Amino acid sequence: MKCDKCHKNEATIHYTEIVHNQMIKMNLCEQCAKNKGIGVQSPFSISDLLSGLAQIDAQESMFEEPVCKCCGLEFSGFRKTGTLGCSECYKAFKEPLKSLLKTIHKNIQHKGKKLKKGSAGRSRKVNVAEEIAQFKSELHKAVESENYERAAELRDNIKELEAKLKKD
Amino acid sequence: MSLDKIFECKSDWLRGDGPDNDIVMSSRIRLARNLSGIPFPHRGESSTNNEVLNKVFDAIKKTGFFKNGMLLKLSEMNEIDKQILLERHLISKEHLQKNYANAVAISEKQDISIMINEEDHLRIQVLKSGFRLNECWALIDKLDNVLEKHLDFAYSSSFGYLTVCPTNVGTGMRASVMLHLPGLVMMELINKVMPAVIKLGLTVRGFYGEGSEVLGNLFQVSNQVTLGKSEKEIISNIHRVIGLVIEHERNLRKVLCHKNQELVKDKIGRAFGILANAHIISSKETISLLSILRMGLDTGLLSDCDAFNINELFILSQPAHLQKQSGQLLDPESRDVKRADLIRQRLRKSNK
Repeated sequence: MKCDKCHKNEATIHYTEIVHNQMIKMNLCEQCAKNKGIGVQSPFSISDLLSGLAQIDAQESMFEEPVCKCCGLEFSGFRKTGTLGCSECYKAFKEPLKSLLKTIHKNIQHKGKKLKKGSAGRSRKVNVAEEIAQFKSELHKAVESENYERAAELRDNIKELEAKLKKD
Repeated sequence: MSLDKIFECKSDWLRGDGPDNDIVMSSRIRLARNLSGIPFPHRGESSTNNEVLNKVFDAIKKTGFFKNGMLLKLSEMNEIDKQILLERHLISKEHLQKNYANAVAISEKQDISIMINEEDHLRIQVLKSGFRLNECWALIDKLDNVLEKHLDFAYSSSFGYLTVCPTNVGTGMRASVMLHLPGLVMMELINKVMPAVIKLGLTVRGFYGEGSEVLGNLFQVSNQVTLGKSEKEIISNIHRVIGLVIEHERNLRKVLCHKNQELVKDKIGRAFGILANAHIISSKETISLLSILRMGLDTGLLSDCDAFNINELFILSQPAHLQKQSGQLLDPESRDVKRADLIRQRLRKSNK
C-alpha cells in the first residue's frame, strides 16, 4: 500500500480520525505522518489506566509511602507503571492494593484454586492463624469507624479462614 | 524436535474439530504464575531472570508433559522462527518484543505451551480446537498441579496467585474462545451483541489478542475478572454467554441462507474465485475471504472444499510461514505473490 499523501513510500501508519462523527482513514508513510504531526504512539494500555487509578487512591490516603523490602519498589513506582515488582509487593502495599483490586475485580478475596499441601510453596506457607489475627484487628477498627460494609467482608474472611484452619 | 518440525507438523488445534466448531475456532486457557520472592521479569537483573529460566526448564522437564516437545530460548532464534511461534499462537506479541531471558516450552502436539519470563515468570497455556474450555481446564489444572510440586509459586490466601499486573491476580486465569461470527457481522448486529457480551463481564479482542484488530470476522472473547470467582465459575459464565452468542449466530446464518441464499452464494463464489485465481493477495484480504469460505463450508453452501485446508490456510498464509516455506526473507510485495501461489495451489488441490 502506498502513502496517501506522497504516493511514493510504503504506507506503514494507518491513521483514523473522527471529525464531526465522520471517520476519516489515512494510510501514510513515516515521513508524511511526521510532517502532519502524527506521532507513533503506543496504544493506550491497561497499565496507564491502572496507574491512574492507583494515583487517585494514593491521594486519598495520607500514610507514609510504603516500600517493598524484597525488591525495593516504592509505592510511587507502582503508581507510575501499574505493575508490581515481586510477590512480596502484595504484602508491602496490601492496604492501597485492596481498594485498587476492589475497583478492578469488585472483590478482594480469592475464591479459586488453592495451593496444594505438599507443593514447593506450601512449606513456607502463609500462616493462617497470623492472618486471622490481623483480620480481627482490622474488623475491630472497621466497627469503630462504623464502616459496616468492610466489617461484614472481614467477618466473612475470618469465617472462611477459620474453617480452613480446622480442615487443614 | 527441531523448529522445522513445528512448522511442518499440523497443530492439534488447527484440525478444526470439537463441539460447536462451526462457530468456535479454538478455546484457550492461560494461567499466570510467579516464583515467590524473586523479582518479576521486568525488574529482575539478567542473572536473576536466567536463574528463573533454568529453574523453570528443570521443573518442566520433570513434568512429563513435554516429551518429544521443545524448549526454546528466544535469544537463540532468528526473527522468522519467532514470528512463526506468534502466528501459531504459541507465544504472545509481548513475549517476542522483550528480552528478559525469555523462553518457551512447547508440547509435541502443540496444544500446551509455557512462556517463561513474559510479563509473569510463567504463562502456561492450553489451546484446543472447538468449544472445549472444560477440557482445556482439566489439562492445564493437571499440569499446574505437577509444576507447583517443583516450583515455589507466589500465592496468598487472600489474593490468590500473585501476578505482575493486578488485573490478573487471583486465579491468574484468562479463558478465551476464538469466535467466527460472519452472520452477526453481515447482518450488522455485531455492534449490538458485543457491548452486551462486555456488560456480562467478558472482554472482546482481535485475532492476535490485546491491541490487535478484528480480521476475518474473528473475535477473541475472554473473562475480565480474575479475583473473587473460582476458575469453574469463570468458565461456566463464558459458556453461558458464548452459548447465547452461538445460538444467535446460527439463527442469523439460517436466515441468511434461506432469505438471501443467492446473495450469500454469490459472496462465497466470489471469495473462492479470487482466492483460487489471484496472483497478488495481501494477508488481510486473504483472511477476510477465507472467513467467507469457512462460512460457506459451515452452512453447507460450499461443499467441494476441505475444511482442514481452509483452517490451515489461515495460518500458512501469514508472513512468517510464507517466508519459512520459501526459505528466504521476502519483502511485502513478494510475500503477496507467494501467498497467492500457495492459496491457488491448495484450493485447486482440494477442489478436485
